[in-house]
Amino acid sequence: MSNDNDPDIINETQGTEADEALIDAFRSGQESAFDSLTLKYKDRVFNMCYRMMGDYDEANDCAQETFIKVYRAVGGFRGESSFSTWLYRIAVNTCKSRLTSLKYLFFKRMLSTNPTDGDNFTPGDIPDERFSPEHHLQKRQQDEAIQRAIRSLPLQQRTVVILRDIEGLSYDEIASITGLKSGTVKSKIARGRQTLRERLRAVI
Amino acid sequence: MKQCHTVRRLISAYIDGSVDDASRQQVEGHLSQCSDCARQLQQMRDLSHRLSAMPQVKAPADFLDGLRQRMEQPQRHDMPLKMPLKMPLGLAALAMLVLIALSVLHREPQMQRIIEDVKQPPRSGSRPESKQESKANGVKEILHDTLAKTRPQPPATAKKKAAKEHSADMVANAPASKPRPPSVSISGALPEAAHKVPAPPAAVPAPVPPTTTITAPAAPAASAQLEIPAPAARSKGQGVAAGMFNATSEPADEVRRPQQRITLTVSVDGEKARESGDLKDSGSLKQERSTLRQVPQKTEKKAAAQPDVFDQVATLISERGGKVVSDKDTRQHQYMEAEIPTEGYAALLSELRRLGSVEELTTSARQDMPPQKDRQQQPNTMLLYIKFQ
Repeated sequence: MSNDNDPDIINETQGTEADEALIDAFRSGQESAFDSLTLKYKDRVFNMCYRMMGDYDEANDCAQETFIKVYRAVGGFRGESSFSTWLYRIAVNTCKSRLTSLKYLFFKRMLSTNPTDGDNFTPGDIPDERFSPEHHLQKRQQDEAIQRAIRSLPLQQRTVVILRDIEGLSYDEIASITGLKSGTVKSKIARGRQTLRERLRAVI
Repeated sequence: MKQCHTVRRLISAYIDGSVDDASRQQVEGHLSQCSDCARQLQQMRDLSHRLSAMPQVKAPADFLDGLRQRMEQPQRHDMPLKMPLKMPLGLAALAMLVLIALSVLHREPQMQRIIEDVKQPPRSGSRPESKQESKANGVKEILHDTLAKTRPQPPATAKKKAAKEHSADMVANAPASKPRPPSVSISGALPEAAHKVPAPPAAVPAPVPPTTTITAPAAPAASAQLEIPAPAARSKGQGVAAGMFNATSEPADEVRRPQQRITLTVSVDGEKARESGDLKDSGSLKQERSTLRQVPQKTEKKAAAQPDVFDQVATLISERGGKVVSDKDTRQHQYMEAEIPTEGYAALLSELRRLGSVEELTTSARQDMPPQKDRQQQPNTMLLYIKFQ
């Protein structure tokens, strides 16, 4: 799973150069350049936000807020990291801010009627009978269970696991995005995976 | 077991290829011997594959449009987050200011009313002095201004008490004595009543009801009802402070009311006096509307130039169902005390004004009319202190 020797690195590099070109074009006044950047990354950012938030509307809100921040701050982007890393960093911070905001916690607690919908999710309580014989339905239910399990992880573990296993980013990229040390990222990924393995043992 | 623990800590990094060669050899060597750790490695790989195989949730098709629309309203997103924190403070401050302003504005009229009411009692309280002055200097205090205000009718019990006191003052007095020829000053008053009124034990000095309302119908035959608010009620500290005279004062203060009486100063002065008296009477009629049966304070001025005015007045009083209660000696002092039914007061007033000018003066005549202290006034009767000039 290591991306260090991934053959797509060349494409990624090209993509990085394309991003820089679009950024320069946007800085020069081409609004369409920003649209291009948005269209290029919107699904990845949206998916990451959805995995972090576990709610489609919340994900849409966070993704839009992420691109709004990018729009306002791209003038100060110095290229010390790739644009995608910078973009992920903004998206992660946006999701974290939302998740830790009092408003979100209040409504989450008020609207939460399913005890397994929160951070105290215990997959072991999910009976196997819940999954219907139909494969697609079973897979869909598995996805839902996995999503709930991911949401049950502590925020940092959740972040690094999503970035690593769902978004496929390298440890260094994750460290750059989260601001954690590489060793910390590694240990948190290991801990998060271990927790997910235990909780999803009956599902996967 | 110790090796299992060490290896399991490396499994996550091992499947990512992020372990050094030494650690990789250690893990691989252990996994070949430990089935539990090998099974755990497999589960970890399955999980990682399953996570990476999770379907990508794509952004809505109109994501860019929504983004652009939202960017046109830059503060839209910040508002919901900040408003709940800032608005309550701002609204609270604004609401407090509004409430304070409203309360001040709302209390302003009440305060004005209270101030007026508080100011009036002293004025009525000083009536005895005014009366004395008017006696000495011939200056009459006209009640028209003070009579304008209408006060609620006091309870029946209080009225009865007041009437008793009034009648008590009147009973002992003998019939009127002859007045002096040129000018007969009839200060028909209810001395006791007037005196008692200004001296209620209440803390607030509001003895004589400042807002005495006199209803005098235009037609002579019509009955005149005088309504005087209970002075004691006004003098009550609470009532004054709260500005609720009307609500609290009436019932408790009726006891003092009987001591009030009407002072009429009659000057028989021919047609002139009669005309002026009519005008004043008609002017006062508008202001005098009340159903009070208690003793009001009024003073009439009349320039009496004829020697038999005293008898004429006595006759008029008797024709209206009243009687002269003062003794004959009072005639020498140019005054008489009389008692007349309330219904006949207006008619008497009208008749007196035909004789000359009549002025109703406020008077608290207790000092002026000491002999009537013990008299009791019948209900629906008025005690008059008629002074001839």
